[in-house]
Amino acid sequence: MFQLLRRGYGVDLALFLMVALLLGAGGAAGAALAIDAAFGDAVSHVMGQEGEVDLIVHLREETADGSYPVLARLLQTRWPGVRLRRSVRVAGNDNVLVTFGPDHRRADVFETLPALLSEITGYNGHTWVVEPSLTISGVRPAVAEQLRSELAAIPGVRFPFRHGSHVTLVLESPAAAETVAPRVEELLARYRVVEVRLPDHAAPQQVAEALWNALSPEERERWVDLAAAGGAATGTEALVRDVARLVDLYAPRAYFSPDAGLAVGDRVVLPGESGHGLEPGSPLPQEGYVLLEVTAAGNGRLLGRIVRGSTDYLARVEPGRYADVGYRVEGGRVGAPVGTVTVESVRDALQEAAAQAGRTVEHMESLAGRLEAVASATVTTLSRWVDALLQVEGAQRQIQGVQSLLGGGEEGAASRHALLAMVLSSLAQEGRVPLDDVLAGVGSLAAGDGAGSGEGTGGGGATLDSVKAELAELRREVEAAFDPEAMAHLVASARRLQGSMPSLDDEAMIDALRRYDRYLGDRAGWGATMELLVPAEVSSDAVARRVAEAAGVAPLVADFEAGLLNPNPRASVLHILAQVRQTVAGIVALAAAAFALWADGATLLHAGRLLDRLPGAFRARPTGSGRRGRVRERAAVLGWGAVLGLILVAGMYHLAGGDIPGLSRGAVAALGALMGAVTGAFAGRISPVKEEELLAGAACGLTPAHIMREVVVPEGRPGFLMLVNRWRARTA
Amino acid sequence: MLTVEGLRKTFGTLPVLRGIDLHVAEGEKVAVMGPSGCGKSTLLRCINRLVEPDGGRIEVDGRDVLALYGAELEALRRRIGFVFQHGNLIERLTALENVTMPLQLAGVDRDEAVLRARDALAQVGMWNLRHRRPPELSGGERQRVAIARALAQQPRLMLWDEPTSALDPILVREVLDVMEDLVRRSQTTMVIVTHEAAFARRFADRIVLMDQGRIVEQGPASRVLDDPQSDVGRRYRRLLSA
Repeated sequence: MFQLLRRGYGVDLALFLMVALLLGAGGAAGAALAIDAAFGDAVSHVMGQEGEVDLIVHLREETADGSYPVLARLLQTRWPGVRLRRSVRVAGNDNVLVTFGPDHRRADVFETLPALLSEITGYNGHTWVVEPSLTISGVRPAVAEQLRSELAAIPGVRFPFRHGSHVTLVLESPAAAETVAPRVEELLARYRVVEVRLPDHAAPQQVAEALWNALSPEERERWVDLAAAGGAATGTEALVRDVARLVDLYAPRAYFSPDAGLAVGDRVVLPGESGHGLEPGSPLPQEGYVLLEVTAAGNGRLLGRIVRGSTDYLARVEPGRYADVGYRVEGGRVGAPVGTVTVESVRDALQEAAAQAGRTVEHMESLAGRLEAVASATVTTLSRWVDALLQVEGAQRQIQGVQSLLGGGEEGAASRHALLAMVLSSLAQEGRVPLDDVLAGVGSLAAGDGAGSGEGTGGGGATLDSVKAELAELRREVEAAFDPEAMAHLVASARRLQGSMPSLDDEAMIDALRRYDRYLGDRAGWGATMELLVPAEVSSDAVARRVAEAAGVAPLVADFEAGLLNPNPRASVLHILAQVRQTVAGIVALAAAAFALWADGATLLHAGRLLDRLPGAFRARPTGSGRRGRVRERAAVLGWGAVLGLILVAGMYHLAGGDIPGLSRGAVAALGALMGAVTGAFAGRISPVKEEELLAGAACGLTPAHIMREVVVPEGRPGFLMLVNRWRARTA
Repeated sequence: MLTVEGLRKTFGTLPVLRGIDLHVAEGEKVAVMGPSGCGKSTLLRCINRLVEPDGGRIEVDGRDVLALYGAELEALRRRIGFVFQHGNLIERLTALENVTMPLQLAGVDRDEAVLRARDALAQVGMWNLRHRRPPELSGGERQRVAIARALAQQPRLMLWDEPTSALDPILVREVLDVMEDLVRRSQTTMVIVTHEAAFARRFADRIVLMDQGRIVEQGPASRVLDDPQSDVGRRYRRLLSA
């Protein structure tokens, strides 16, 4: 190769490399672009043009013909103006392109749509392709709700909407993406999601409560318990979390002395009904005892739950509160005493309250009966009293006396009170005549004697009418004091409350909690998981420390980004297509380089070696003589081959825009060098160079360049070298 | 014209030339003969430096061949016509192009090159077949074209490396006739490696006998073959007598 470079063939070599690189890379890039164009057309056909389609609904092909009209009717009825278009069938799914009208491109529409679609037979999922947009993936629902308002406030964002674990920001314009994306990334970077995995025996609700109690007010403002914030990823999980929280609040809790030397996971037995004074070392009682487990420790408290038994076995201190001496459980046997253990049961307290309510109800019913009897007796007595007045001879005079007694002003008021006192003193007697009749009789009587003028003697002015009115007023007051309907309603409500108290026993509640914890946590050897949204500057190790200090458990922690900003689906697809294009370009470029090495590289390397071997090529001893010379010659061929291969392979690969996954730049260069060296090693066998013709050319006094152009290359393979040689040869 | 002194060449561990001394005067026709492997071809190839000798001295036309490199050496080779045993024609070129191509590349005008090619091909009786390519020619025809290529360069020295050894007996005669004609008419200095003892006896001015890398005998053709002093000479005499 030295002869070629030094004796006039360098320009040809340079031209060959340029042409090979350009044509090889161009061919590779062209092939990749052709595939890219074909796929790009397919993408547009499947996804519509940019901005044309909001949603692709996938219908199973076997039911698509029936599902499509249903889908169309459903959407167009709900949102008039929506447009649908059936697109290609891919992987067993018919794709329907859906475009909403401007009035219906809203978050509430987009978020409620999936539930509607799930009702359609044959529905097999959907893909949002609304544009222009940016999508944040990996977002917990609670995080999405926490960040929704901040995302919506970013200039350029029309509205955000949540779908699954993604939040898509619909933008005002495509150009807005440039300004919105950095703001979104900045927003996401302000938060971290820390996943706290608790040991199997730890109770997440209690740990969360202990942690929250230990946080400073400022921290409580900035940390968010995603579970408490309604952060269930699915409806089922949310339901389980809510039920678990309710049951946990309802379940009995044990409180141990902080000086008892207990740790989370330790078990304690309360003798309960089995009797007092368990001996250390003795086996656990057969029945009537309560077994507890320590589930949280911190802030000077030790908390636990009932594992076996019930508060029914314990001595009650007050409604819903029990106490007993506890003993540590060691190796399945009774251990050392741990002091007094208090168990509080919300359930029991509520049940006691309900029982109290029940007793109150009974008292109220009894009282209501008595009140009714009192009112009735009062009215009857009033009737009887008037009747008695009428029956006495000289009634008028007595009535007048009564009238004077019933004078106006203060004296009259005192008289009315005295009258009431008289009536009330006769409560024991039953009425014989209804009061209305009595009053009617009093009224006619008053009208008859003319004594009802209101101007009575003694300055009172009271008449029989006044008596009647007073009695009627008195009756209204008594009746108002007792409302039979309200009383009946109150009694019925109290009875319902008493009857609605749930009847779960303690063991059942704890068993349910364990199952809820396993469902929510679902990790072998580890129990439930808490998820916290914290400021980015708070490390997961710091969270772990806080949990350990607050609840006495040693959690495993991992932190995640609050979300990951992705380009929109079209951009994602186009990105994938770009990767395909780069891969295809890379593969074709490698193939083109391999062809160039086989067609031209072998010729160059073999001819170069023969020419270097000719005497007179160098002022020094020719490389081909002697054993050492042969080794040098071989090394030179391999070296030149490696250089040629490196230039061709790496050059074509990178010029074509190739990028095969897993193949780094260094790997491409190494591959090229290897291919070239192998070509050099086998050049003598695979090149079409005829040594006798080359020798004849040398014997004729031809230069190495002439030999290559006129003798070697024209006799070689059709490749890039022959193409260049057409411009350089005189006789070829 | 040609001076070779103390020429040595070893291939690997095998000595092929063990100190050759040869002087050829201008216009002299020298036949070099000897058994196969005695170094005859190597001697020729060392003269135009297609093979690099390990030692010695070679002068052609007053120029030290071993001191020339690159363009100077190529220029010398253009003044030395070399006929290979197998002709070594360029198979994609016609007979005419095989002859004109070296001339044109040496800078000879195309018309001049064609004229010289015509003369050379005519001398060897190949002008009528000038448009044929080597695969379309017989072995003897190819060898004649090779001779014409060498002649067209108007060399000062012609080296023939067993030009008939690769041919069958019928074609040998065809080529020998050409060679005889050339040798008789041409003033060019010639060194012909050949096994054709009869040819050598008739047309060579001097015969050089080689054996095992050495010149064992040389002298006028008739004397060497009629009264050989060497074993090789005696073998050739027996051959001629047969």
